[in-house]
Amino acid sequence: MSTTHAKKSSLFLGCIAPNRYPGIEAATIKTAKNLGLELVDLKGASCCPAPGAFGSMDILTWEALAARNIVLSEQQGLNCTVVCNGCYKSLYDVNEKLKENPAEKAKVNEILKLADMQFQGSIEVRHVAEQLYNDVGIKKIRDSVVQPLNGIKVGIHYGCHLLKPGRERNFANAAAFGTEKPRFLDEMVEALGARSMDYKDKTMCCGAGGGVRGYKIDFALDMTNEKLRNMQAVGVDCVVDVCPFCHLQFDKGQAEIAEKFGDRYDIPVLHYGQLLGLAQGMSPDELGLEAHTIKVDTLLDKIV
Amino acid sequence: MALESQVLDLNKGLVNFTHEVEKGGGENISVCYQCGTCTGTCPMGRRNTLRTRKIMRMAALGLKDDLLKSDEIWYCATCYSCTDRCPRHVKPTDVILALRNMATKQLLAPKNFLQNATFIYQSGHAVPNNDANKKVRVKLGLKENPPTTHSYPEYLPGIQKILEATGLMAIKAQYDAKEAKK
Repeated sequence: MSTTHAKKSSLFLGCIAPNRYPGIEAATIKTAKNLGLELVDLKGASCCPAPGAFGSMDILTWEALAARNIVLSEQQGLNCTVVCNGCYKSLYDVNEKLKENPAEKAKVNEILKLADMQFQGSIEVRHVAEQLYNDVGIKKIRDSVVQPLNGIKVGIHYGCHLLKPGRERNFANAAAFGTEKPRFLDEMVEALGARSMDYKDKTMCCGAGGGVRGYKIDFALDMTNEKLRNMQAVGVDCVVDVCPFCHLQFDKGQAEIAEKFGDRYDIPVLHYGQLLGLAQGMSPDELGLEAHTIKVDTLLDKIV
Repeated sequence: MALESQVLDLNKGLVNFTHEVEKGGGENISVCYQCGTCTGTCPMGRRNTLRTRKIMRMAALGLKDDLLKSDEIWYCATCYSCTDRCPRHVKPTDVILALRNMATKQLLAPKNFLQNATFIYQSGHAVPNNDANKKVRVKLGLKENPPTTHSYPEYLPGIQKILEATGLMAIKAQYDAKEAKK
């Protein structure tokens, strides 16, 4: 299968995008379509399953459930696109591991038999942001802009599991996907007429992963608080992420931080698909922005 | 820390426990030269008692009981910064995950982890849909439920069989029984 230029792929939604921030789902589908990427339903998909939770409890369960999702896409004969770094970790890592390791593949297939499935290893797993950068390209993204973003200051949050560990990733244009100073998202944000701001510890984790949000929420929020403080110090107008779990941690997390620690930021949080949607002229309603915990009105005033 | 008995039993510890951790995904523990890049790079350890280097040393020494009972192995947010920067290509994050896998089998995992297994078993999602979200979806022109197991529950039995076959649901049942006794 041609992997790098396939324009049609299955859309793996995961949990948080469809079930907490459906604006991310709607925005991703619409903006990708405007750029010639067709994302089709992946019927019967489940949780990826969450790498922090399931990788912690039982690696084999994590692999088998991830493989089941991959097989659904194999059965459609399509590469699989994800919108979440956590889903990327589960589906990309397991896909590569089972392709490279016949013993592990046999072990997982023994379990998948119970669901009448077999992992073949015939597709690629991609993150939509990486697909937009590598397949569509900055020029086309820029050409799709009808409402330039007026130089708004963006605090980019790359998240962890798309890029790290770098030794286990194999992106085209690898330099833009480096773990110490990635820049693909900076270029994608600036292509929309916004400014990507440098800030302290930009590549630091949001704090939510590994089950820490569920087990020790104060630790998780303390990390988020540090990142927000660093972003506020350079005057960002919004946070832009490519991961619904980081998105939730920054958006809902700001209300939790205000309650627990008394620190208030009111910095709107957008998934890249939603920022792209604004630049492509979509209304905030179409992008589900009004459903966010942190209101986006101040940001919208700066754009229009 | 029951170091004395562990030292006497060091060879056994290395052969069994350390090897088990390595097989569980935490490769190359024995080449760790304790430089401390992992602890220095760890954003979580800056606000609590998680010390990745110490965990690596304890794993190499075979201090199984102390590690599996420690609360700190559950503080890691799995950001993979230590793994990314380790000059010896040890994978501290995956060592911690391997330790968590072993602790789970001993019913030592925090409750919230096992709850995820129940959610997926019942709905396919660790974070299932709800009524407020359904309204937002419809307003966006999306279907009330996404095209996942939420719309196609006929896929659930396959998921449930997988969760049973790997033994995770049995662990969950044992864990619940232990909690009920408390």
